[in-house]
Amino acid sequence: MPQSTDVLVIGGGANGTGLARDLAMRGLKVTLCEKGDLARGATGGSSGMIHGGPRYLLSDVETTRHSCRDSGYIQKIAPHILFRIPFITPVGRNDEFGPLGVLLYDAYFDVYDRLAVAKNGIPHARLTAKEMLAIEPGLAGDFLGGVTLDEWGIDPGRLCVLNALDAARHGAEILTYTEVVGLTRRSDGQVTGARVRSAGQVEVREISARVVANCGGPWAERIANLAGGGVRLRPGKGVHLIYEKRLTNFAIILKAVDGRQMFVLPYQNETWVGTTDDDYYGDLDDLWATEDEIRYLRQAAERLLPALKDQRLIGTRTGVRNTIYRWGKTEDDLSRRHEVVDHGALGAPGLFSLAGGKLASYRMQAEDLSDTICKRLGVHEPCQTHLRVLPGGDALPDENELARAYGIEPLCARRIVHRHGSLAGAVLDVGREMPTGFAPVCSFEPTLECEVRYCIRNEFVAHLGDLMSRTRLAIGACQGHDCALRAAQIFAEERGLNVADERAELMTILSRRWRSARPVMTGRQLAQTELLMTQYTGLWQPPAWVPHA
Amino acid sequence: MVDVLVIGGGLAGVMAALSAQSQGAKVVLASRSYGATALSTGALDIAFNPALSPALQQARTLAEHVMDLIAHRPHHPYDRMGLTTSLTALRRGYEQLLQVLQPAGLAPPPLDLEGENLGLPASTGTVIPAGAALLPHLGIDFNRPLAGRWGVLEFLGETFHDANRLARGLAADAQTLSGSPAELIPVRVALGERMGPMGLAALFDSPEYIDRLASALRGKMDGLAGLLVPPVLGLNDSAGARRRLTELTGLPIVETLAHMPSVPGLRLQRALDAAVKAKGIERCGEIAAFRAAGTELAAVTTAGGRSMAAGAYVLASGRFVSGGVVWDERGCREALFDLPVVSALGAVEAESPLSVVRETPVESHPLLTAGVAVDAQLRPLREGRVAFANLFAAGMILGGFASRYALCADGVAMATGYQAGSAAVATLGGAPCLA
Repeated sequence: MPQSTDVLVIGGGANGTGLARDLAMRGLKVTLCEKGDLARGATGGSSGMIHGGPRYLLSDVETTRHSCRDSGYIQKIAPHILFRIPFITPVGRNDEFGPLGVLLYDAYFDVYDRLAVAKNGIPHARLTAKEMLAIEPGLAGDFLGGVTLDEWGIDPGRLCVLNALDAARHGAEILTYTEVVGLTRRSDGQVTGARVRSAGQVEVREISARVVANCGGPWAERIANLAGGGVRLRPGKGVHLIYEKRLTNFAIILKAVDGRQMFVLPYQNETWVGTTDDDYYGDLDDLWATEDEIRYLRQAAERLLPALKDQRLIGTRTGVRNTIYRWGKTEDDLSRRHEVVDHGALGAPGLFSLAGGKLASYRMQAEDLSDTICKRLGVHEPCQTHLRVLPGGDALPDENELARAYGIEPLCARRIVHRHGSLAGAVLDVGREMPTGFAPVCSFEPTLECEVRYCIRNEFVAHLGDLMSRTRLAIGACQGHDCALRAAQIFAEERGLNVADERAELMTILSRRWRSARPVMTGRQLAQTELLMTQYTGLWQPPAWVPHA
Repeated sequence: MVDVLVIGGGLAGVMAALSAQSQGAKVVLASRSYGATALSTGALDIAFNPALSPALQQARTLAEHVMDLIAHRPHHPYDRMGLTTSLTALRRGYEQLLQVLQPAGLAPPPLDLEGENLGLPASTGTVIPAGAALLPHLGIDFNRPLAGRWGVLEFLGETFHDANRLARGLAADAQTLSGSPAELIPVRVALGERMGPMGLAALFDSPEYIDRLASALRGKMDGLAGLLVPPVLGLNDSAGARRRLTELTGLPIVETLAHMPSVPGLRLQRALDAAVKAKGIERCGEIAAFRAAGTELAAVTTAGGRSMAAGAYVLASGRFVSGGVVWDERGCREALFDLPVVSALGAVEAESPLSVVRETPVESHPLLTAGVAVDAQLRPLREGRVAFANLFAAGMILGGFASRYALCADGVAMATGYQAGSAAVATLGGAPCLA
């Protein structure tokens, strides 16, 4: 007999996990199917900004309003995984508005400040060129001054994990590495469930559901096509460059060669530069940052921050936006609004899709779809997702006290609190089980063995590579050189893997690093790559040599 | 007047310097800092053809592996030199290295090119093929059945050398390679604070710590035929540390090959440095610029501004880790003389790494074989012609091979270092001045 559920949610990004949580909190039986790991698509490829979208202020004030309100809620429910990120917009003497530039930005952000109250933003401030250069001495150019802007960022990987965890606490079933390969339908067209297949398996099984909710992000169009269509997207590829260390304290807005807006962002131990926004027609499952995208980003960033030229580029972060289709606009002018599609009108009742939207309003988007589904299923419970905190978000422990209590470095305690909030104690308790429990796994990121073990046990980690988005393992400058081997050992112990499977798991993390780093394997990164390859000699059978392949 | 100026102080550079000096030249060795040699594992890779199945690989002699590389890899340094020269240069370079390693007690037995690759235990928990190795790593060959039960030492609290991982991983590989099970059991001792490999190695230079280790091992060695230990038994006096531990325990002691940071690599580099000093070879710092005269290299200038003219030059500046090959805004090239680089697939003129690095790490990557192309005399080429009549190249700066696939980097460094040093002397014409 097939497995049966009330709502089958397709997609493990912010929308899918947010919807699963919302529905489960309203008492529905939920099964979430994600074909890879959580937060691997648009969410995982994003920069994690939950800004109010000042960029859309002129073209799409509704989006700005929604984003501001919802990012205010996100701050309340997930305070631990948030970080405040002040931006500076430098205004150059030769910018398009000339000497009026600073005043114009000032007026523009006055309007934004009023909307941004909802997200606890500090009002913007005007800086003279001298003040701005005192804060960020690395900026190069002839400046009139600058305008600051207070924004927030979030760890998008952890956001999805926490939503999934909370959904599971409310009874939802979270199935990662489980792909929906088809929808089951009655003769009248009614969608009655899905056929799913676990990664690496041939066998297909059925899950029957009263409603199927398509939260596939950029894949949503493909999923809708399983039931005759109804979702049309215009996917836009976005690339970030990741440099090995922090170079600024503020995030900095800058202009690309074509006048587009970009940013330089200090993020944990790194500096990020992003993003591109280009129509994408390629394979959604095989994304690479290309040479022209990398040069485009580097050109603009190095012009404003010449010190970046000497910094090691350690990787790229690439995603595809699930923007709704519209003909005749450039990528940047496309609306970030979301749409709930009821496929009932298209001959496929029982199927709903969530198209478009942005990370900053994921919760509200999920609420919107959840409301529609609950109405259809006759559920009258109101939405609770903005009122109840995500796991660990209730009371943040004092990191110095934790550091003392467990005998660890305060920085390690701070990062664990950032990732786990009030669950930090539970994470650290795992460390008492073994003599190496508080040993750092990586020499670049303050990730401790106890956190790795805790995540493997509790956070839907199916493969070693999944730990990257849970703990920042192998994300930093070492590229997995120091930590992957140790983490594989820990993973094998926790799961009782044999030697061959342990080595295969090691490859899942090295391969994911490779996807990020390969496009930028030049400069000093090449030395790191050479070291990495030598380090793991013998861990895989060397390939046959094919000189001209 | 200097006869031969060698650029690079790693294995290849020192081999070239010693070879040139032994043939009567006055030599100066220029080096910037430690490079890949100081990070190496303790293995001495000679030659290995990865395209063969494990059974065929095991049955082939090192000389046959050299032949395979020549047959299958058109730009490989062994191919450039030819089989006869390669084998001779390998033997002579290896003998030269033995002289270097003897004072430190690191010298392995003489090279047998008619012997097979060894299957040595690496601290990653895998068996790695190697033509030879520094002495502390010899004593177990997993290509053959392991006699008796061996203990695998772990220092409690240290994570870089996990006995459980080693015992499981090595036993699995040993089963595949030798067809019979290897009995390996974890032996754990507590020494106190977490030190990491370098800290432990410095401790074990002191006999008291070896004594402490031996007493911690007491009662844990029953029925053991030998002890596999982390590669940390002493930094400056590893021979003394090993001897003492062997005496106290009565067991043969074998160190695993290291991953980074590597104590064995540092031992090797220090032995090379000591040899350079003992031979009275003058050293200078990094070379930053050069001056050509016609078809010859006339002089080089150090980063400190000192100009030096030599009759011949040897470039042994390594690859990416050591900084001999760079990829900057001007593309992928040799760093000092701006020489073009070739990969195993031909010229590297790529705009993007996407075209010379493959999609997954397990594949072979043309970019990682990038280095200068040379003629049969090891003279770097530019557009098919000899770049400078008196410049020779040795070691990883040579293109056409990746140390990670055809495990041959040390063999190449020894053979081409020896050969480039000889060729440099030969090009001096007339009799070189006597050192």
